[in-house]
Amino acid sequence: MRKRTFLLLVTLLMIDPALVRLRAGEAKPRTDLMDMSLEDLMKVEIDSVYGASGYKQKVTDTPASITIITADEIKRYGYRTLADVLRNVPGFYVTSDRVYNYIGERGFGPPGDFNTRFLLLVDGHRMNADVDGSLGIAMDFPVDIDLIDRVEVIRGPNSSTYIASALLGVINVVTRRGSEASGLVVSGEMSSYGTYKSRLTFGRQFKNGLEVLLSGTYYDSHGPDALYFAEFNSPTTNNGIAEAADGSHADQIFGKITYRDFTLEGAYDFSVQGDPTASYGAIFNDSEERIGFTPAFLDLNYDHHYGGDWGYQAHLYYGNSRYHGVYPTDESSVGGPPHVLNQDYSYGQDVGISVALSKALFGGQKLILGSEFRNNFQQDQWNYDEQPYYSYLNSHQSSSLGGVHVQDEVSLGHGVTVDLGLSYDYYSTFGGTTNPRGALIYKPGKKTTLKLLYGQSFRAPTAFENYYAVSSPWGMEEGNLSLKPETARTTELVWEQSLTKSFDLVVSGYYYPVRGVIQAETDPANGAIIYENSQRVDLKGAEFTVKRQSRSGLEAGLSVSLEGARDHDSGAPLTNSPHTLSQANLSMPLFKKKLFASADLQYVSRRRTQAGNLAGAYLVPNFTLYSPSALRKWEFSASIYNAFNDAYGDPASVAHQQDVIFQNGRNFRLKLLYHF
Amino acid sequence: MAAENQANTTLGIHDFMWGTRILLAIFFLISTSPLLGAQEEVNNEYELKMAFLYNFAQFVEWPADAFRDSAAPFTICVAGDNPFLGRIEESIRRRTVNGHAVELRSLNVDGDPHSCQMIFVRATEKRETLRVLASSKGSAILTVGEADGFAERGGIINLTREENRLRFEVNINAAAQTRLKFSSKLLALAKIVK
Repeated sequence: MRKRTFLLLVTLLMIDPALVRLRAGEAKPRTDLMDMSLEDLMKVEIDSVYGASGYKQKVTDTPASITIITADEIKRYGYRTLADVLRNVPGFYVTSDRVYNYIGERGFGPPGDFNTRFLLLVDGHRMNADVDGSLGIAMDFPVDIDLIDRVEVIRGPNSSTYIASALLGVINVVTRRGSEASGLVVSGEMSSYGTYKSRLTFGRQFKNGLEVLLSGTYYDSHGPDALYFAEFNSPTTNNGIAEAADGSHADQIFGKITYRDFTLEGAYDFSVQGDPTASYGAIFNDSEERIGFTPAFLDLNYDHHYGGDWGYQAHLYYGNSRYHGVYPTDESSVGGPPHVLNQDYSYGQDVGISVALSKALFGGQKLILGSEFRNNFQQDQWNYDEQPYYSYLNSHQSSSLGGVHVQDEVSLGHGVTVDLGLSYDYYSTFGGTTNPRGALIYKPGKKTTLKLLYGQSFRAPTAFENYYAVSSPWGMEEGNLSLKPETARTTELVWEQSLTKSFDLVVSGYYYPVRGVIQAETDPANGAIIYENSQRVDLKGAEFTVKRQSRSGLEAGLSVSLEGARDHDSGAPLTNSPHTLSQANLSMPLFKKKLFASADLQYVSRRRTQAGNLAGAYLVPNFTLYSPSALRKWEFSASIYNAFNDAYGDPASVAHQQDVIFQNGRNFRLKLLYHF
Repeated sequence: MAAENQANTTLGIHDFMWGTRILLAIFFLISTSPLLGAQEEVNNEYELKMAFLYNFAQFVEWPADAFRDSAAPFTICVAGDNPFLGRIEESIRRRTVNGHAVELRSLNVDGDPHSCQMIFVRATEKRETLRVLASSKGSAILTVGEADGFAERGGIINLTREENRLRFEVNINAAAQTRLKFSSKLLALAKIVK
């Protein structure tokens, strides 16, 4: 079935008239912009990227493999969260256990890894939690999806200008400016499962240049009335039915003030999610089980470019992240009470400063020098039973880290550019690590770019992996202070080809060996869970993407990723690793761009589960009708997700008794927005 | 149990496989249809901005004394980080404005702006902006900016962004204070600022 789908796609590509023209050598050369009239220039669209190396560059000039998702696409396709955005990025897939959403990339998506292999930035501020390096990409991500200007997804570690833990990629979220949000906006949405979300945003640019953006979001979801889990199908556990146990709630605040070269920005998110899966041995169908995240930050950013090609950027920041899990537990098997609330907490705070200096040198050279220092002054974890009180863990830690990096871009002429970078990071926990990277970019003509990318990266062990140790009736865990960082050495070849004026092709092949992958193992001495650098994985594969965007507002894209992610020693495929991923999207304007009809679709081939079974392949299409100006100041959208009601599930982690956790069927959303 | 779930999922896929294949086919037939018109798109906004600058030069007339002699170049100066280095510079250097070869250079902090026919002021140059505007008053220098409020503050032309496209504003009072002549066609396409 998978092969047939792929063949069909290939066939469709073969009959594409643009490709046929190209093969026949009839493709028209792109007009030089300089020859165009002012009227025509005013119709040309721009697509640009920040982030990959701190410089604003053409996507094709960037020494990395990048995908950009814009605010326009977010609206047209009805993406609800960052997870929806990432599902549609070539080579990415998102797995859910109904509490956390996990990012998988290029066949690597171990269940329960809390997204620690990715670096998530909001306007340059690191969002990974201090204690466990985790990342929220749904309502536990503090920036409302409507406040995002664009998301830049940078594959691989090819971004040496950010220190720490960008093992598999960087996700850079760029938020809108006050000047782009004109006045007061109110938005309300209503979705399936009793889900309501409302947002109030005020944005303005004042005469003196001061820009202000303030926004608040309220979100509440009742969740499905009943969810069935076959693993709990017993009269003592409500015959496997978890009733109203999947509710969630979030309150979010975001603010941004820009004046001249300074931007002060902050976010706060209080989010709580019920857990219908009874993870970590909790009592099934107990509505008291819930997991809360409260990420927050404050970041002062100074960005200045001097005359004579100097640039200077600095961040001074404070980060704060809390996690609080409540697990109702039955301790009667060890002579305790049948219902005890076990409280699990972590609380992290950090302060840091980073500076970067860029200078354009003679001969088209660009030099970037940067340094960052961060003090995680609080990395606390504790765990106790409420009634009767018993403390299992009370760990107070702190750590600090610092790093320097240098990057030089040299243009060698004949369309060849070389980009070299080197970074050195020092962690108080495990010591120093040096990581080089390099990119060779060759542009034989205007339409073709070839990139050869090499990079080394690491992920530091987290305080959770180092220090979380409990010995309790529901299980034992041991800390491991001798953990070393995970390391990846990545090689990637990217071919970017503009086929016609509006038609682009991207083909890439990659090889990522990741050594010393930190994963949960069982200590043979006592059966406790302990994190060890116990695995080497090899990620190999190829991605094909075609994209079309036309002046009429039509856009379409198709990508197919063939992934071979294996355990190096056994050669066995990895858990939760699909062999084939395919994503398609199409958006068409109707009635002079007053209405857009859009569809996006994800195909994920079958994946191995923890227990060695298979989670079946799925194909999920979503449809959205969106009108940016249906009635003057009103914006409207209606979406249907998982339109064919496919009953698919994602592989579960060691925290679950389930092997596969089933996902939502067909569901809907209506959204209305008013500009005052 | 897992096997049972597996069976259900696979069944679901089979049921809709044909539907989705047809969907995919429609996707691609529509998206590749040649009838839908092609669109010019650029990845680099500065390539586009340079094309605007070059076009402005065609619609503005400089007095003869703005050039040292007839062989003198038409000089575009950049205040701030020069975004045109490399390929864009190569392509503009091959062009001429009214018989003058085009020259591109950076305007240094203490540099004399009077050898420039056009000054492009980067959005990042807030301090530089005032100095450039002050020295261009009454002269034959066309100032072009890319920051909100540039035209209101006395810049002549300001490139603005609307969604993903570029537009421009012209401050006609500032334009009148120079010795440049502006074509009516340019003004017709511009948003006028006073």
